[in-house]
Formats: sequence, structure tokens, C-alpha cells
Amino acid sequence: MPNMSIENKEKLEALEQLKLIQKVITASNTLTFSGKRLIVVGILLIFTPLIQIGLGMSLWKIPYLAPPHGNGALGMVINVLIYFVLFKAFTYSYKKEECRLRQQNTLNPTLKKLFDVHEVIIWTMIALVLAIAFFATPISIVPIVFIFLGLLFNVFGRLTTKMVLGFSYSYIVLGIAYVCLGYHLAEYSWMVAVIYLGVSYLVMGIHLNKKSSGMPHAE
Amino acid sequence: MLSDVLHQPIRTQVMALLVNVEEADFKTIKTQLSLTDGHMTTHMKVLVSNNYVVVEKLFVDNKPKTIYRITPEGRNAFLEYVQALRNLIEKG
Repeated sequence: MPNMSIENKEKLEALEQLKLIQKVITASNTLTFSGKRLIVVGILLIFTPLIQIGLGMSLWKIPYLAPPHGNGALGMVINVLIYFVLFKAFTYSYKKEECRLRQQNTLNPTLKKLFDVHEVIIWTMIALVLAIAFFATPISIVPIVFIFLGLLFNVFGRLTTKMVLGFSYSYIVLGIAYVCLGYHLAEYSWMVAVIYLGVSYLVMGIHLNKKSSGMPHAE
Repeated sequence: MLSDVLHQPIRTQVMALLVNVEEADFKTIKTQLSLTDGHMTTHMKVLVSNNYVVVEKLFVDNKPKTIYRITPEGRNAFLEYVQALRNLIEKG
């Protein structure tokens, strides 16, 4: 019997050690994301429908831009630019914090390479959104954005937490569902989609913040 | 048989961090793992003397910086240690 308890104690210790190792690696990867930045983006996304309603009542009422006789393309560019400036302005300091974290030598080398790809994906997405706004139906913007973000977060989720991975799958599924349902959806369905995106960013941000501040303490 | 060098919570955490990031400076390891200067010095000495980690001292912006880098030997030892832990758990 005493032998049995020693064996159990060893197993328990081994399990604890493995958990500790997993915790250190996950927390170290999680540190590369600014949870605060995700929270700020999440809040902005939640308010996006309201901002767009505001733009509809101001920008899109300018005779030179207002459809059907105004310059809709210019209006679209200004509309996208307003969001670009708004998001950049609100997330500038957090972006800097993320860059500082990534420049430190505490990042998995594979992650370092992934972040380079991340920039290319984001800029491709922005260019695609603009192209769709000009040449296709604006309703296609929602699924494109969701699928792009889904793929991006799927990669990061594998290196950080299961929650990020879970949300990434939900983005992909929602993106595909949006394409399937297409014109059956209500005109304002994009608002629901954007609010979901915002809430998910908010939840992920809070979760990542907790993770990065909860590095295991050595004893 | 578990390695005496690695089967110690602080050294396990330092090695787990270094296996993931390959190299890190003194301050980063200390902050990320919430260690004291004394703990760091003692345990890093053990890892360096076993050739699991190499230390490089340099100056960045006229300030001294100590960088620790995991060696191939250290990486293998750590992977073997993790496997030994798994074997211990799976042992019927």
C-alpha cells in the first residue's frame, strides 16, 4: 500500500509538471496579443451600426455624394476612410504595445513569421472590401470579412487559446451561412453580424488579458 | 528516471519558456515567470553548468543585457523529460 501511494504521488507530480509546462508556453504565446487592443476594437465594432446610421444621416445626405445622382464611389471611399481613421486612432497606442511585445525576444519564431503574414492578410482584406464595394454587391463584404478573420484567428487560436480557436470557427461558419442565405437576410442583418464580431472581440480581449496577466508563479 | 536538473518547478518553467521562444533576456524571463533575482541567478547557473542553456552578455544602448539561449542538448533533454513525465502518467 505505501508503494501504491508513492506511485500515485509521482503521477500527480508528473501531471502538475506537465500542466505547468503547458501553462508557461500558452501564456508566453498569449503575451504577443494585446488583449486591450481587442477590447477597444470590440467596443468600436459594437458601435459600428450606430456610427453607420450617423454617417447615413450626415455623409450620405450630402447632395454631391447621395445616391442615385451623387458620386457613390467617392462616398464609399470616404465612408471606408472614416472607419480606417477611427479604428487606427483608437488602437494606435495598443498597436504600439503589441509591436513592442513582438520585438522583444520572447516570441516563438514561428509566431514571428506568422505576424508578417497577418499584415498581408489584413491589407488584402481591406483591398478586397474596397473592390467589392465598387464592383460587386456590398452585401458580400460581410462573409468575406468573416471568412478572412476566421482563417486568421484559426491560426492564432492554435498557438494561444481554445477560445480564440472556437470563435474562429464561428466566424467561418457565419461567413458561409451569410453567403448561403444571401438576399433572404434582412437589410440590417450586417449590423447583427458586426455586433457579434464586436462582442466576440470583447470576450477574447478580456480572456487574453486575464491569460497574459496570469503567468504561472514559480515557487 | 526523471532528470534532477529539470524536475524542479522553476527550472522546468524556464526551460519551457526557452523551448518555446529559443532565447530571452534575464529581465524577460524574470518578469514572465515572476522570479526574484536570487532565484534566477541560482537556477540559471544550474542550467548553464549542465550545458542546457548558453549565456551571452552584450550591451544594448550602452546598457548591459544578459541573453539566455537554449542549446540543442537542452532542448533534447527537455523533450526527453516531458516524455518521461508522460510515461510516468501512462504507467498502469
